[in-house]
Amino acid sequence: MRENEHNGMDKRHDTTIAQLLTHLGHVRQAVPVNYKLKAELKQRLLEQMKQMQKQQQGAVPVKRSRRGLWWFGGGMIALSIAACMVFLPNDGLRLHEQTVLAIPAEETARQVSISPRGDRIAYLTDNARLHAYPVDHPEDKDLFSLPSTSGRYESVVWSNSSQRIAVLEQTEGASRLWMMQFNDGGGQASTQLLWEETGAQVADVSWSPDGRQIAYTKVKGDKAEVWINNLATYRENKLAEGSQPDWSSDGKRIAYVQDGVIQVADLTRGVTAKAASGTQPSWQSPDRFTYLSAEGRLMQARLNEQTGTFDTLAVPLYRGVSLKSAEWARDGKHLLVAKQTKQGIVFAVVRRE
Amino acid sequence: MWKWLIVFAALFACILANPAAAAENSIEMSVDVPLDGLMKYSQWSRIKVTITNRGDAFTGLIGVGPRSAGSKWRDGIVRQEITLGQGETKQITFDLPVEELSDRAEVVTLVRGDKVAVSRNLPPLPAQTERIAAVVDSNQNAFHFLSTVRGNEREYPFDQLTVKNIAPKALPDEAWILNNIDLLALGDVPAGAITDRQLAAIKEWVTRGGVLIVSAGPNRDEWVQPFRDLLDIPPGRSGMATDLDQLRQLSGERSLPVDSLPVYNRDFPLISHKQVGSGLFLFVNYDINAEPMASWQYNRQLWKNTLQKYKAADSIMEKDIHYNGIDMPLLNVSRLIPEVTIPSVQWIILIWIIYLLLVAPGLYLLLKRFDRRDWAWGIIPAFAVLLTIGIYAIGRPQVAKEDASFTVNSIRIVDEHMAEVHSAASFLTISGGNYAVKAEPGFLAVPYPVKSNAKNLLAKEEDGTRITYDNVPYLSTTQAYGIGVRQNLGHFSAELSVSDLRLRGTVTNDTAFDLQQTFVQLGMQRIPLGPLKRGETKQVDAKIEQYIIPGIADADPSELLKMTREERVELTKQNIGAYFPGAPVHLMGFSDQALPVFHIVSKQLAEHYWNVIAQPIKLMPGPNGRTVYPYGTLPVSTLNLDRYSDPRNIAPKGTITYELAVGKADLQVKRVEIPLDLSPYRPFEKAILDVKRGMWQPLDRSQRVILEENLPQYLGPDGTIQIRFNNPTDQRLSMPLPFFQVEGEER
Repeated sequence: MRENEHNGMDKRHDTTIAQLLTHLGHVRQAVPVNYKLKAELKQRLLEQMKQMQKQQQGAVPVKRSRRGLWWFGGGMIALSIAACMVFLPNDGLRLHEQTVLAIPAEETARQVSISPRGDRIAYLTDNARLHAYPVDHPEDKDLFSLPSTSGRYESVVWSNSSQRIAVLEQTEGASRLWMMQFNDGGGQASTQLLWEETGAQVADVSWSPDGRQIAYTKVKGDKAEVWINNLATYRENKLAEGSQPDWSSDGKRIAYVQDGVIQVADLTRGVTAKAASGTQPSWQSPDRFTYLSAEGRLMQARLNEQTGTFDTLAVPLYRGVSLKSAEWARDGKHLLVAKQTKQGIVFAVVRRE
Repeated sequence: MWKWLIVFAALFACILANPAAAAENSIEMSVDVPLDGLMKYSQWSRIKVTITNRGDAFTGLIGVGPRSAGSKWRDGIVRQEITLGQGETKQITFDLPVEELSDRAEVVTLVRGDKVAVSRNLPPLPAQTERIAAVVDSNQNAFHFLSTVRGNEREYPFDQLTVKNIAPKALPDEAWILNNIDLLALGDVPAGAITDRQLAAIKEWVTRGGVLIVSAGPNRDEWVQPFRDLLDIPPGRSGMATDLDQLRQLSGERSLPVDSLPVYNRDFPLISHKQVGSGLFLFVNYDINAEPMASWQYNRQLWKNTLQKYKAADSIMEKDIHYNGIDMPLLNVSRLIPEVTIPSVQWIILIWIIYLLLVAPGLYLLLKRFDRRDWAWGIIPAFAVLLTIGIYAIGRPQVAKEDASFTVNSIRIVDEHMAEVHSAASFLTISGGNYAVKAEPGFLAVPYPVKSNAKNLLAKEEDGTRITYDNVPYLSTTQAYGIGVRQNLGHFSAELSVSDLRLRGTVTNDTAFDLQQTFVQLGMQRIPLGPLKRGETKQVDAKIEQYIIPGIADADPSELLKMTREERVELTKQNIGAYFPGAPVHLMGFSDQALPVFHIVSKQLAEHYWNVIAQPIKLMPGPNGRTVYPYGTLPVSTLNLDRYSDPRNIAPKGTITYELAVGKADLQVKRVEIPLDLSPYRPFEKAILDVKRGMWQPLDRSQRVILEENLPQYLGPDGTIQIRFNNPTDQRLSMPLPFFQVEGEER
């Protein structure tokens, strides 16, 4: 019985498959095939495959290689610029961004001084007052009284640590160098008479980096000399005939003016070299100083270690403006300039790039 | 069930409580400080703890720490282990710098396990500025007049001595403990009451700078005999002394209460003095307690002048300034172990930033590319661990190649036989862990910091103090500090004189050290002599500055930051030994020769040493037979100043009076020069005290003061000259101290 049923089932299956195939044939016939499209697709596919083959074999990948090339080129240029900026010698001073100081117009630029870090300004006024304020906050002004004397306070110079200011007083037969000490709060702690020179006028005080010595101009009659005084031992030595001494930040050199020519005395080797024609030398770094030309133009002189001479260059600042003075802060980054204008002397702080 | 649990818990608590209570009752502890508890803030002292165990044997810890430690007794304590058998009594001593004891009350605590068994309070600490005269005399009022001795330095206020009576048995038998008093006076003491060891300690203390007064009346040979090696006082000449002029001169009074005095030796002065080493011995040839002299109303004046004349007050002050408990500059220099470089924090931070910003993200992107992001959980931390191991492995040899130590010794030569040594040592162990350091026998030693929460242990052993450091982290430094006396380190011999602004003479190095650098410190001037080997003699002919005005230097502080580590080390070294109290002139040398004070137990390490050797010297007469003490070598002190001024800043309209210690030169002074014509003094109105007339004599603005024939007019009986400065301006003015130069002849 079962065998009969199995045979019957087989026969039914064969029938179903046949019907399915027939149905598929009908369906195929009903859907039209775009043989043309099919051929086109096939062709494109073949072309793409060929292209890929060529690229793999080293044919020029046009778009991708160009992009990469552009990136590479741009990167090299940027790297070159960076290398130039870092490694190429920076012979020129680049100055910018000035802050004009709110200081009343004064007769002489010596009555204004910039602190060693370039962040504070001190200046004198006629009534024996010393004003000091931060460059960026002129409203925070401190006022200090100087000792009442018969003389006139003529110049001010900040010491190395910003905790002291030296003020030069001139009387009729003497010059006095007073030192004002600040306390931690910035107030005036005390004043001390560092040194009194009788029978001569003193000007242009410059501190040594350790604060123990000063270089200054001593004028007796019409003769100007540069002297060095050790304030700890009271030994004084004449350096040379001349004026306007300025001590370098490493303490090894003093630049001064002699007959309109700037001389640089090397204190360690005991030799003096002529640097340039001009006045007002001010050290910006241990081997470079700026000075003013006869026209009041700011110049720079840089020591050539190999030859021992100085290479000079104009500083692109205030073209056409006559400067009265240019004093560097000890940090070598800030320059206090005094320029002559129709309204009088205007002071400004210039920053080095 | 729960009821039984409660019962068992209560029984258990009782069992736990009992041992503690039992411990408290079974242990007796007493605390004793020598000199009847007298301690000076600037010295070391001994805390002696006597413990008797009446209970079971135990092992515990005993420590000294602040009272507020309370149950947290581990905080800030110095400790020793102790084991006590049943019925046993032990003495434990702690030798500590007094300044390490806090201002709050200190306790000595005995701990068993984690429980405090017993604690006792220490005596209260003295005021920092108190000066003490200890008196050993059966008469409680003996030497009361010593309270009139006065110091003059404003910087170290010292108005008078505090006189304290102590029993003979309270005297220590070790000299260093006597540094806790400023002056020792021995009067009516039964012969034999002071033991030989105590006497030896007293004599050593005098040699090292102590001030000793001994009083003896007639027939006291047995009492005086032990002191004959300090001052040769012949025996057997007791009697009555009729020449009492010395008392009249010293007291300033013509009339005395007696015409004659019973004295120990009638051929001996009534009061004699002898400089013994760095100290002073005063012998009083009569019984200080005998009436009517004991009650004489001018006794105070007599002794005030006596002690000032013989510079006892100066000795007290100067000795006290120098001998600090712990010399911090030494410790700071010892931390700078040679050949050990501090790892650069910047580099470590940079490496980690590179890892965090580049390496770790790069790893992640790489894993993402290979579709293995789930591996990041393991790979990135593994890389971090590898980086740490790499930094350690590469960096460790950069810091230190081996274990190392650096011992810095400050050696003060007392005489050719004895030198006082302060020693600071640092130990760097790469692996850390537990180790012990041993100090040389005879040295007092403590770990530094003295009190800490670390489980450092002190142990007094026969061959020296042992300090055990516990759980020291790897690549970490531990420190120890010690003081002691070393024999036979030699001394300097010098014959130096000053003339025409030059220092001339010879210096011989008879010390045990080859010196890499040698200096003569002449007041504020340091004159280099160069290297000096052992046994070498050097001719000296150096220029000296006429004036040295301190406080002028004013360098840019940022320049100090640019100094290299080696430069900073060198600067710190140069400053050690610059100040030598009581010695206007001293010789100083630096040596890196080994002088071991500490050694690490059971470890080999590279040992480095650095020594500062200093010795006071006396200047000799020059070719003209006169000795010159240049400007700045002799002290200037402030005598009077108004309340708005300080010693170098005078308020507007203010006044200050200075006292120039001319007599400190210990010469027959012939000439004094005070350069008041220098610029800093010119703004002031100046006057000098005419002691004969008792008036102030004005000085001209630019007047240099030179006293020769007129010197007696201005030189006071105490060997000082007074100068007064008045600030006439409306500004606060400052000036340097009025230094001076003295010329004189040997007495």
